[in-house]
Amino acid sequence: MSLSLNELESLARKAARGAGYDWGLAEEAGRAVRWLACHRVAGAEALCLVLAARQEGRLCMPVIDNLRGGASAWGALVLCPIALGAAICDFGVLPDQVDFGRVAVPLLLVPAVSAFAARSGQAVQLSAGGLSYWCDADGASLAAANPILPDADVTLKIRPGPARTGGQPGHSRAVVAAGVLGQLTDFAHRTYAPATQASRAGAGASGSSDAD
Amino acid sequence: MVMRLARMGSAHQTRLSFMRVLLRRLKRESWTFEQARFEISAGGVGRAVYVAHGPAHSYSLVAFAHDLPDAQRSDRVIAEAWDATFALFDGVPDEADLERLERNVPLQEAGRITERELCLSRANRSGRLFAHVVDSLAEGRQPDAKMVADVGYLMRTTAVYGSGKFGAADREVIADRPEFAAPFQAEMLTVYLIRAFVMDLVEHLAASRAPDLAVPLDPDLRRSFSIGNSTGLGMAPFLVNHPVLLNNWIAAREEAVARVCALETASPVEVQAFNAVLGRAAANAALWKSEHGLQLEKLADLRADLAALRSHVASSDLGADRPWMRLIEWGQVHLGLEGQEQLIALILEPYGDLVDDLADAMSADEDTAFAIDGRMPVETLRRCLDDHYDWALGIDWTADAANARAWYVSEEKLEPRLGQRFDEPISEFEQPLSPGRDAARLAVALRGWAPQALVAEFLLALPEHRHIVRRVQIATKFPYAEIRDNTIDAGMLPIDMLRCKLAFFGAGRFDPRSDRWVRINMYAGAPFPHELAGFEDEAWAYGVRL
Repeated sequence: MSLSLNELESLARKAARGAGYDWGLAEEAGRAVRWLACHRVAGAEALCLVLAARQEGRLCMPVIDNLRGGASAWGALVLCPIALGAAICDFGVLPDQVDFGRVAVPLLLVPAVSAFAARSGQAVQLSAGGLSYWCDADGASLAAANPILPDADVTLKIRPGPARTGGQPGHSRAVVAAGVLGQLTDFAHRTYAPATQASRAGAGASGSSDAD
Repeated sequence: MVMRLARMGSAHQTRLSFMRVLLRRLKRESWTFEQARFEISAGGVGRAVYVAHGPAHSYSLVAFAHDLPDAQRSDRVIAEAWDATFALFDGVPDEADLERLERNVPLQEAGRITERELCLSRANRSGRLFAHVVDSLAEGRQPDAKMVADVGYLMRTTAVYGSGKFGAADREVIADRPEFAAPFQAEMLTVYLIRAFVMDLVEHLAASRAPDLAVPLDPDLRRSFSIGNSTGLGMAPFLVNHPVLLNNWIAAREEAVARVCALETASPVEVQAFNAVLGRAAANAALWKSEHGLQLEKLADLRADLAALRSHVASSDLGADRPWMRLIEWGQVHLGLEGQEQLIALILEPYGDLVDDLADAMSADEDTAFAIDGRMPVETLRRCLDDHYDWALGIDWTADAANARAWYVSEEKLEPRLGQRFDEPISEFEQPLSPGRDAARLAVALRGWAPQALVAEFLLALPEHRHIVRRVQIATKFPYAEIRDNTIDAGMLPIDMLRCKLAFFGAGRFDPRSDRWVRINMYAGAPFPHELAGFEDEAWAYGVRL
């Protein structure tokens, strides 16, 4: 189905919330998926994989040592790309090279790393499972990065010189497969309260007849 | 003071309201309009297309008229059928477009539209007035003017969706077109064309019923008809969810007031223009009807304020010595909130050249405010809270009344609702629409953190505060981003938020049906598309011309 980017972002935000993220991180998830769709990359599909991993209890949240390059995910767990991306942007400073260890669906890190690169005026290379994304890269090189890797070891390298400014994104729609849409919709549905008669009567009632 | 709910709930339309911004542009740029199709049966079923041609783009209202049984007529989001349904098409639709729209638009939320569509809307007939007007015209006479004045509209829209909803084009797709520089212009154009369609529809129905006897509406009476609107809770979260946009609306209005107040003198022509519109505002307030107790009190306040204002103005010299500043200061002492807000609108009226350009600054690129400044030290964040959320930190959040409500979305057609937190199992579904409480929780969570610790470190440890930290940083940069009242308090009135937003749209005659539901009039007194070029009454939104 062809979705507007506002629809996609809103759905992704609600789905992330439905899967248990706090609202602030759910907002980051919505933005990341929108950014990827804007670059014609299957962000919705990537988010589905992350939310499923979260449901299975396979995700761990980053700690400060992750940002300093001194730790990786614990045991069988993989780092959450939404939280890691948010932390990278929040800290705004990284060592020249950071090995994060296993990260779930590294593609979802790309929007945050690109924002970091743009803001810090540096070029950043994100390597994951043999693939390499130039952050601030244009849509074409990102599209070539499909298919989406579920989990991979991720390394960020900061390169001297200005950030590459890739082609403008400019895609204004997202085509989302029915199965992916269904999964995100199911997650989003968990944010809705059940329809009860009391809810229907009390919450939105006009207080007088509609027919006047 | 500006961002208190009681004041926002007393807002009036101004020169910067989006309907007025739109009509000024359509007139200035000599837009032309055509009824490209009108394929409606004598029974009122069929389709029509109204096209607006601008300098670079054309836009078409595609209207579908339906035969709706009375029992199905509801203004709630949970309704599933309407008297008429609409889409605003980007360009001029061909037959294939119309067929596609005919399969989807009547379904509203259950259908899909595309990037070729900018808005989706629907409307219901007024049970009080629609039949009366058709009957009267078919019998060769004008409808009863008092009934027309009392109801005000033949149809009321119950939603006007834009910005990518249900598959429509995102705002970003059209944001670089000059006609969409100000907010909600596509939505306002949709409603403007709906009004023209509805008036044509009643005249068509009367003429179909009695071809030899029927008369069209008298042009002055015709112009007095608005499009009604019935608005529920959905609009209230919008203001909280778009803090930068809200800031830009309020900031533009405050800047307009500041520019006018800075004038050392006023010319006789300007004073006369002010007096004329003051008289019209008083007449409008006298005709404004409501049956809701809260609104009746507000109307009484407004009428008394306007009487006091007229009396004061009659004995004042508005020519010199910063007249508008003096008048605003007088109002702050002698008028209630209704009168003060009305006065702000009135002093802008003579000064289009000075303030109208502010309309283009009322949109917002909300992306730029999204990023959190994680390098901010915790002590700075604390100071931001103290400076901008003092109103929230002073509330006793352990009191049930302060937490009485919760905003949530029902699975039933995703209707936004407001429930009683302690009586209903809704807390786990709560939407993040309580910045005051969340700011207070943040203040508590920050205790014990070293002053020089970074916000980034704090959020890594406590990600549940990420949403409110973002808001606090936005509110620090944008002084009007946050409503400075408790949005989940037992006594909070959602209609205050609705009125603020609707006044910025340009609506009038607010008529609450409960604390969370309001009927309004849109475009009452406005020229129709075919009248626009020769229409000189800039202050049409005040209704009655004296």
